[in-house]
Amino acid sequence: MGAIDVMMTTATNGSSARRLFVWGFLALTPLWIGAVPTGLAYGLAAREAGLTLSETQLMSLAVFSASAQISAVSLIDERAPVVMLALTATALNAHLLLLGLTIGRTTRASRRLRLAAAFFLTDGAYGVALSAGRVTLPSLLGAGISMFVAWNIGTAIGATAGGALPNPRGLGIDVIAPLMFLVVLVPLVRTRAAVQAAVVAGVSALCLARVAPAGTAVVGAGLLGGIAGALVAGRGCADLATTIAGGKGEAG
Amino acid sequence: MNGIGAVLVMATVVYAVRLGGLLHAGRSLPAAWVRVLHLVPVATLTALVTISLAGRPEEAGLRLPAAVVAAVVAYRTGRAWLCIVAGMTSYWLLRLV
Repeated sequence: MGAIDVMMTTATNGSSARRLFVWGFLALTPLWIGAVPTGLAYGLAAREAGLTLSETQLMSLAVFSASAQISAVSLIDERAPVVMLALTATALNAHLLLLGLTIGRTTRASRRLRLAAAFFLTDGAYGVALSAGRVTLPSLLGAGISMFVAWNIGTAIGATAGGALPNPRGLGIDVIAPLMFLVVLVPLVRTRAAVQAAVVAGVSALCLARVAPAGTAVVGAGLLGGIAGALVAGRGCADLATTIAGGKGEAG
Repeated sequence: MNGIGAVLVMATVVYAVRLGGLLHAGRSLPAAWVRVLHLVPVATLTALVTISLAGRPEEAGLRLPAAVVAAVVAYRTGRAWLCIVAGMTSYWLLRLV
């Protein structure tokens, strides 16, 4: 019996957990059509920024966060220090803390299963797991691992192809980074608070970049934008806050 | 710090953020904190887009229109790969003009 089997058996009925895991894995496979090309684009951008094949792949295996990885590639290109890479990655994944709180309140599982599920927690996996009507950690884990496989296949293809390109910067491959940020950003800017956060962050980034390194400007503008958006948070955001802070859990 | 070290530091902080919520599900956050945490990723992504585009002012005439095309495609279709293909194609076509 594998490690995942052991974790899931301790969480709930073994065969039921296994079915949920397989269901989650298969339910996410339609998203591979987006995950593989996006991973490929990350692989190309990372090699263009100077990362080796092993560093590029290791980042997808160990970090497994599209926005954090692309931000790292972009900031490495700007020669930002590691602490700024870490702070930016934290800021970009801040909402996963809230997602984790919501999931944690509505599911019962062993500590080991939570430790495993946390590594594979992404927006996409959560959305797929929620589509069943109720999020369970085995289905979340299955969906997350499915996304992980697709993301790493795409990375491997892109990193290998990126190493074979004679002059990636001459081809403008670094344009991929802002395009990938847009892919993640555009669906999120749906509320007045989000628009406010984006406007303040954009203006702040331009101002801060004149007096500070790129990494500092990104982290500073991210915090300023987040606070500004929260100050004018509309009804939708307030509802989210009430839901999570009040412990009712949107997944239940 | 070398590249592998930077990757491991990033992996640790991202995992800590993901795990934090799952392990502390019994705790409540103040509503103001929830709002800020909800919006910081939006703001940080915007800052990254802005700095990425502003970082090459000599190519602003190529990169800005390509970013606009990509944003429209992302908004209309929600498909990541289509957004990247549309943006890169626009960029390359503008370079040829």
